[in-house]
Amino acid sequence: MLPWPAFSSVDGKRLALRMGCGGDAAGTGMLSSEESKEGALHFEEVWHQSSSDRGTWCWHPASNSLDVGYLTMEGIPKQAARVQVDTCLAVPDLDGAAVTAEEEEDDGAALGNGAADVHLYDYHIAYHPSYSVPILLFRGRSRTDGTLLMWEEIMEDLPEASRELAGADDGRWTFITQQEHPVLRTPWFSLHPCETAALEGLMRGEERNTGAQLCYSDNSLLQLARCIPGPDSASQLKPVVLTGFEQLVIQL
Amino acid sequence: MVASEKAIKEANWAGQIPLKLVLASNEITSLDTPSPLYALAFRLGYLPTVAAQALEFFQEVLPPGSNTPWFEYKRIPLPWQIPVGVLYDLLASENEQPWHLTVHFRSFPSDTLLRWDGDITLRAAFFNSLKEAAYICQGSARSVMDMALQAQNDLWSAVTAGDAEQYASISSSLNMSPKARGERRPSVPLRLYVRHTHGGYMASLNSATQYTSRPVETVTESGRSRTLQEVLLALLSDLGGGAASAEPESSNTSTSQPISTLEKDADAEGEATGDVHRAASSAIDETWQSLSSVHS
Repeated sequence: MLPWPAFSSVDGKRLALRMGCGGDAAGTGMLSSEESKEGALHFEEVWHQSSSDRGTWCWHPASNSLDVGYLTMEGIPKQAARVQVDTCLAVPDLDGAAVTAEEEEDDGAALGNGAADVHLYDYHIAYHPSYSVPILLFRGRSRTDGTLLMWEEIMEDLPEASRELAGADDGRWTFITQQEHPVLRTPWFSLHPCETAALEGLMRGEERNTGAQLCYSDNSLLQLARCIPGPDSASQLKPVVLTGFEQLVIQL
Repeated sequence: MVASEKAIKEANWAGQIPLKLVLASNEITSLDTPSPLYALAFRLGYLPTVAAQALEFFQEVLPPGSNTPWFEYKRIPLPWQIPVGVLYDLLASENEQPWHLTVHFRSFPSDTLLRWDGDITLRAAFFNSLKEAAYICQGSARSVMDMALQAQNDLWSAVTAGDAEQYASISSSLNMSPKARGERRPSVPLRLYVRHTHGGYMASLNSATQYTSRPVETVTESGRSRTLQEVLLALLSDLGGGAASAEPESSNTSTSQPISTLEKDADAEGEATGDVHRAASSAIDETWQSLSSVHS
């Protein structure tokens, strides 16, 4: 079995995109950085062959030999949930709504004042040496001014189930955390590896499992990707990340 | 030996850095520049712990609005999650005392610093770091995640108060001794900070320094104990950027000692002063924070 993101072939057609599973004989779910690089390059290739119309993952080698590198898919648009009204111009709400509706038709028309902003999400997959697994990192930017999105804005873009979990008492610190990018050392959001079991439960529609065990094994990027801000519905916006992963599993 | 190690541990926990805090000039609303604030910060503590003091001191001259503290040294925003002693050894000009920092309460640089959302942020970062260390040592972060809330509170108050004894008694119950997992040999968590040039202009923290945080195996393939020197030389060589030519030196830790035995006593290792500092806030987050300044 190929290491991360490992693909297991099911009846010759389906590929399960797995994260940190089966990488070592002992079944600890851990991978070496070299294994993760091998897996990442393979993933990039398979992705390119199967879903080149849905955005591209690019491999960026690291500048030193301690870190192997990371995969990126950047600038994936998502219509912001909230209508942003330019306070200086004080555009009435009605106008804002009108522009929004117009833009939906136009799918990505130039933004006017008071229109809902489009958020651009960057996704990186980088190797986390301490946990010996690849982690999925993301950050959002505003298309209008390029500023990084704050936690509250990202919250609005989360799928509903994730929003509930993230909005729980300490949710923001245990579920989705802001941490340094393992290679770039800049602030990124990620799903904290500690809560993986809780995430799995969430994705199966179970109650939150508070006794989450730290284990990345048998987890998939597909599952993780469902918990973070994704693009709008697949029919509207391609390339997509969330449905992209899903389709990779379903269609191949 | 034991006695001196204990002394080092105690001295390290008690060690403080004198700070001279000046309010950022664009945040001063009074006609007169407010006088600087002099404060002491534990080497093993974190900058935000002096922020409350600074806010109280500068509050009157601040413009109205909400306050998010952050610190800057020579125009470089300082990451709040790195212990003060490590930051000082890494960045400060030689023997700069007090350490001249600028404190800001506005315009938080969220593109370079992890978001600051009050003291809970620091506490969460500490426990995430502790979980990471536990995962490296034990293959699971259970011992940390299963800590009772009261134990977590006690541990955190020991860290913020610089109480080595309390910290040691709680952390020893976490059973952090490294163990082998599968084919992975027993490992200890290590953080290495490297400074490339000494003095001179620093364009950014990332350009002036390198950093890595990773598990380090305590024995070689043949079962022989690895020394700190071996580990550091290998890491410096892999980091590249001129670091490879440097011989690590350490003034209070024998680099020829097996790393596993160092680890046992790493509870509150001193931050060494020398060309290669082993700023072991292993104490604080059970992770070895090593610091190395390399003249290139």
